[in-house]
Amino acid sequence: MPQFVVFTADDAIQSYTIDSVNQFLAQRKNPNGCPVKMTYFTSLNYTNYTLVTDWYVAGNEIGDHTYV
Amino acid sequence: MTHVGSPPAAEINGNLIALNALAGIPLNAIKGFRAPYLNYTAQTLQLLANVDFTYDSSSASSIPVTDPGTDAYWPYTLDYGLANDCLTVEGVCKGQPKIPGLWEIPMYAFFDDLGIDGPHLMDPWLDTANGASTVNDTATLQYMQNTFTAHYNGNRQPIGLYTHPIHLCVGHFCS
Repeated sequence: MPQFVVFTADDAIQSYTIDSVNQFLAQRKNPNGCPVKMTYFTSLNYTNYTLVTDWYVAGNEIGDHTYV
Repeated sequence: MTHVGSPPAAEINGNLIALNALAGIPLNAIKGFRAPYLNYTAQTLQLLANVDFTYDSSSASSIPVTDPGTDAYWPYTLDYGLANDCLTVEGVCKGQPKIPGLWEIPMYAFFDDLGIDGPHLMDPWLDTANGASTVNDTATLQYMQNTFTAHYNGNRQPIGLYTHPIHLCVGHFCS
């Protein structure tokens, strides 16, 4: 059994928050060489929807975190 | 929609509608929910099941894996109710709420030298460790490593890094 590590973020998706998450993830790989993906529980207020699309298309999971 | 702790259906479903309409996320790709402030009720979980969510991840695992009574369960379905937050959320546990097929992915806390009295859940790097009054990055790293090792040497329950990235500065936002 592998040791799973889950990485999540909550609240709005903005350029700052994507940069912030990438500090943790961008340079890392899973043991099988695949890039690291994460779940973003996205709230609507202050969110940049274009970046939500980009983050989803890049293979990440988008979750529901209500409005604010 | 308004800002509420225990979210009504309009808050939960409005998020789905907006992410679908404005970001093009397929509705069936939005499978998981986390409540703002982790404030949820038994009814919140039922509302999620009503609109076919696969899982909730709002509950906390707050008893270390090294404790025989640990609540660091692997993700589970609510066929026999919730088994986390039994002391903090009304109307859950002891078999309630029974929502067959809805998964709960508990949020696994880290624990510092105070053990069960020193839990760290979200953004642990912003917390003070071991009851200290100031943040000590070395102590933070130490307890995160300790908890990781306890999971690794035990039943390998997942470890979680739960972030609010708006609190993590990058480049010139740090100054």
